[in-house]
Amino acid sequence: MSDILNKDIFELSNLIKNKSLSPVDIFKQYSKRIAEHENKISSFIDIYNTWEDEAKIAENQISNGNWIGPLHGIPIAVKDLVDVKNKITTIGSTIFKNNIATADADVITALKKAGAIIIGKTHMVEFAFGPHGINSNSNQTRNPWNLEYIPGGSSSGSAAAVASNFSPIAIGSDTGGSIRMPASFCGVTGFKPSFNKLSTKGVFPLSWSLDTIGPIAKTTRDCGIFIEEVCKYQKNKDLEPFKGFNVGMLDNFDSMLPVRLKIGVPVGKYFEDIDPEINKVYKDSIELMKQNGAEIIEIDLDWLSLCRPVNVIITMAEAIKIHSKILQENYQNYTYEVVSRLVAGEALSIEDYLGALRVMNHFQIKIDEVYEKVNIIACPTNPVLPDKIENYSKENMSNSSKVIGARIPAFTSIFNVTRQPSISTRAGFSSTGLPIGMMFTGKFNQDFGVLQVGNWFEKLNKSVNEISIPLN
Amino acid sequence: MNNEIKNKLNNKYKLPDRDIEIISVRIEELKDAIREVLDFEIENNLTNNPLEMKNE
Repeated sequence: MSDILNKDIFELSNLIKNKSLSPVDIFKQYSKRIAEHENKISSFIDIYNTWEDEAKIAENQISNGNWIGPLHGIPIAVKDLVDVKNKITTIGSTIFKNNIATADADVITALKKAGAIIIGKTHMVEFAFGPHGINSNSNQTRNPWNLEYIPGGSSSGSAAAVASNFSPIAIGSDTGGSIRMPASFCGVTGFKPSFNKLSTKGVFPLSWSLDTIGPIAKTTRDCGIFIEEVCKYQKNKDLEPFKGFNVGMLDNFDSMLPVRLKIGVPVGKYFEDIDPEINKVYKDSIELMKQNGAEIIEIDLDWLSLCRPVNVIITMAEAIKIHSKILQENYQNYTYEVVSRLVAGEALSIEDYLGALRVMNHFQIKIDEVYEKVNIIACPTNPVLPDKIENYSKENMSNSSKVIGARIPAFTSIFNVTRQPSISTRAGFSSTGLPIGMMFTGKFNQDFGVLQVGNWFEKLNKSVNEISIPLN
Repeated sequence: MNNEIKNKLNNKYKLPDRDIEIISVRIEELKDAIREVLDFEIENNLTNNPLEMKNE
């Protein structure tokens, strides 16, 4: 039964559907795993004691012939900025330690209708404002592959929980890479859909122009199941519908491999400033896809580097607007790693903010030209490897904000500005055994195409994906 | 951090001395970002009319 932990949702749900596996079995295996290892990782801020009862209800429904769909009875961990009715949402902050949600976020409502079991809340960077995964006001989440290293953020607990086999899937949010960066550092798959496709109602904002929610899972196809099921039950008339993503298409996932895939490989100084070990894994991955029929096309994307400062300006301007009043009343209760970022946003003028929005609009249009030549852009998720947690002490952070993590979001943050769908999946490992992620980014609206390519690459790279986490 | 911003932040948040250095570094980084974006707007003669932008 312990191999339950190594199965993805696609496999688990098939077993549940044909009644050879029960949601109660899944509860038992996962809760045992959590009891054995969570104290080393600190991925959860809260695990709900209703999990077993909900698993029994799902088991009864399924045994009575009322199987809802592929998420029925599947546990889902939730980043602690998403509201779950009658449960606390801390947003990773002590200021909100008693903040009880009065309603479910739209995504939780949809997941509950899909039959999923919400098992608890995961740790995160305070207010989702930071790429490293450090939160000095809570138990520090650790990278499950090496406990001395950062997990990446801001969805640190969600990525660490999935990587540690504490939950088969988790919800994250992504403003500059907060799903994809920790997914990469923790060796799992994280998907940021096109902007404004999934409802963020009931999700505490960092930047309303850039925020996106999405899944962190073991595989790309599980990310597809999440999107498909949430879309089936999500009711928000303000959202743009997914295009080319219809119920039932995932059943044909494996037979829809790209025939003559054109992969755009960014060249130019910005994209080539990469850690040598990451670069090797990246080049090997490109070669693997080439050998399997993909056409590799080099494209100069150095001009996209400006998206990084645009992302910074928009995020800081909108974050200080959201936090100004809370910050005035609670300055001392913010973490050192976040408060300086927020306060610095006060130095922005209206002209600065509007200028960044104008340039963002420009890039959202210009990026489409790239997709006249290629189907997808492939680059490393992060240009740097994870650092040790000890490098993010208050003393180090105060000496210079140019601490080691400043370049972590260099690539991911671009594709929030351009609103594109983007996935990070495991590509290889460093010499020290830390995971290295590959990021595939498609044209706006072509979410399903991104999932297809991610799924194809995972299958090509099967031997790397079969490596188990060394938690003993 | 110039005095005008420093005074504004002090009035609003009563900044502890220990935080001023790191906030100053953050603001300098932010200024670099602002400069980059402004230069791009000027160099590319960006229009204010989104309909014109779509025809670029």
